[in-house]
Amino acid sequence: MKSRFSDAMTFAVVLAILIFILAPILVLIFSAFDGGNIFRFPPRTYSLRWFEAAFNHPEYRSSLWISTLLGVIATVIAVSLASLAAFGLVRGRPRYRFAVEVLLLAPLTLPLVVWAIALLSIYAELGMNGTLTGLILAHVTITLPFAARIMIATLNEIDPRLEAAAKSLGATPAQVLRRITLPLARPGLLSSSAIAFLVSFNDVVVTTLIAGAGWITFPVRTFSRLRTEGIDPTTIAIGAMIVAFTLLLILVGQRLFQLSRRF
Amino acid sequence: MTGFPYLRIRSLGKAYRGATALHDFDLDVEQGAFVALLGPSGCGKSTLLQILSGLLEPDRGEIHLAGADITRLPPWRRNIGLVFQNYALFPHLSIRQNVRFGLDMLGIKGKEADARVDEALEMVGLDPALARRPSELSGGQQQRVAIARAIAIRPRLLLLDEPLSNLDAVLRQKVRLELRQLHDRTGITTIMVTHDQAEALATADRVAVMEAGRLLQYEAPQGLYRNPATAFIAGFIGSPAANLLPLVARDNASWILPGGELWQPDAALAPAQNGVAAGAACLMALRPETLALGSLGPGGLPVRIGAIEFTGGDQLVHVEAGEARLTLRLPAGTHVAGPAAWLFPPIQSPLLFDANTGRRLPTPH
Repeated sequence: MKSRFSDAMTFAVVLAILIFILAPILVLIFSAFDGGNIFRFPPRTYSLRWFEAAFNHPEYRSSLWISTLLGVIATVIAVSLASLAAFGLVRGRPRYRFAVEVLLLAPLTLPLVVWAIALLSIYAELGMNGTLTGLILAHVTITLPFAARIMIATLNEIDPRLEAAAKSLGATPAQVLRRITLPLARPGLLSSSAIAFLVSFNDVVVTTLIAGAGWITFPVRTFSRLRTEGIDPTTIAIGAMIVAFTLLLILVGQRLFQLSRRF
Repeated sequence: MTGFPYLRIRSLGKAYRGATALHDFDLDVEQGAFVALLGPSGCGKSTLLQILSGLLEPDRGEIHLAGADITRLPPWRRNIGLVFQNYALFPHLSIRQNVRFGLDMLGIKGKEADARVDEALEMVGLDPALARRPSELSGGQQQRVAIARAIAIRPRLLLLDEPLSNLDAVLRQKVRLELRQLHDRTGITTIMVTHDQAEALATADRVAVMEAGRLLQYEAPQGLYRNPATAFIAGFIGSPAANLLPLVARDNASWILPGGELWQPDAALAPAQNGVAAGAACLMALRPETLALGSLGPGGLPVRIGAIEFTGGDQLVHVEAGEARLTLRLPAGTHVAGPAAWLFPPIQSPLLFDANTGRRLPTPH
């Protein structure tokens, strides 16, 4: 009897936590379909007018494009660097391995806003403020710790004896990489790419400070509009779309690549 | 190149962070032989296997295979099959793809590759139609796949790293016989690393006993059993291994047992007959299966009977001689009367070792 009671308690607690986490997202999604002129919950009439408005808005469209481009470039660079670093650290087992791992994860431990302000003054010296290169480098830096963490965990799980066995069967190092290491690392590569893209895509703090007027990303534009014009139902619709896109990515990642086990 | 052995290892040396794993190691292996590298863990046998496969580079020395120097050849150009202790099957490939991997690397394709995969799987007693992933197989089946994968490339040398250690006791006996039969059918020169002397004696043509990175003795199993070169080997070979009785020569005719008791053996076992001077300390190897117990008689060693283990056809009788403990293997039906008895070693020249160096003492004539 006691175990049935504690099972029920566990279920209740889990349900409460889930509701707490998901409630704002539900509010956002329902409100996005509201037909009114201002933000309100619960919605009284339903329409797609705010989605239409969001898509027809040229500024939002260009921001979405910038965010996607930036996210893809930063992800490709960060995941490549993270994979090389993980390979060197896990397979090379250098004496300073622990120190490098700590350095790779260091950006996670700093308040981003403090780090971004310092970066801003460095960029000012280098004349890199407001440039795409500067923005990409900043996004690589904030996504790298996540990508590196996943790639180190991924490579740690690949038995080096598999690579040794392949070599003994006649595979050159390039063939070992292509036929053994990469296929086994694929889940890690995909989940670290997904995480890196999401971190880049969702960033407001660093991008606001570094990007200047030329490269306004989707979340930055949404956030600034929110501050200047109050809660605009267009941003609610955009927010709902970002949530839907993010959930989709995570669900796909979770399903196919057991993302949660690696992180 | 006549008179040149198939595999020739000369003055091989390897050190890890200052600790010597292999020291000036020499070994010759004839083509088609089955050699066991036997020794306790950390003796350098696995290091030697890794160097032979090319995964580890030696600090010194040379390896010649079939007349060619392969010391610096990378592993993928050696054509040496390697079966890992944990099998190391590729988890993302099916069983057939695992076996086919080496053939792909050799550029063997299509029907020929299929036929060779079938052949290798049949050779290890697996159904070639088995369409499964490695993780769906039992440990014993995974090992068969690993062996099939290694022999499919028709290697010049097959290396087995502790092939029986991950199997249960019943399967171990079966697989060790199968390994021997597989070797006899394929004729592939095979080197097996093991820490289990019974495994080595049962399967190999020749056994290389290693200790602390050195080769102690390299001989056929029978020779190793009859003529161990050191006390370490005598105390390692046999089931159970030989008893090593510490003795000090009192005079020409008698020994002092540990604890101070005297033993006046048959003349053949006496110090004088074996060239041991009075006062010298040595170890006498007494094989459990050659010893007998009896009531008082000349030449007997006074012992007290301890625990008796029944093992089926035999019984292991543990006795104390002075402060030394000895084990006898007697037929199960033998009546053992305690608590005191006399132990009789066989009347023949005994195996004696220097108590300090462990080296075999020369047998005088």
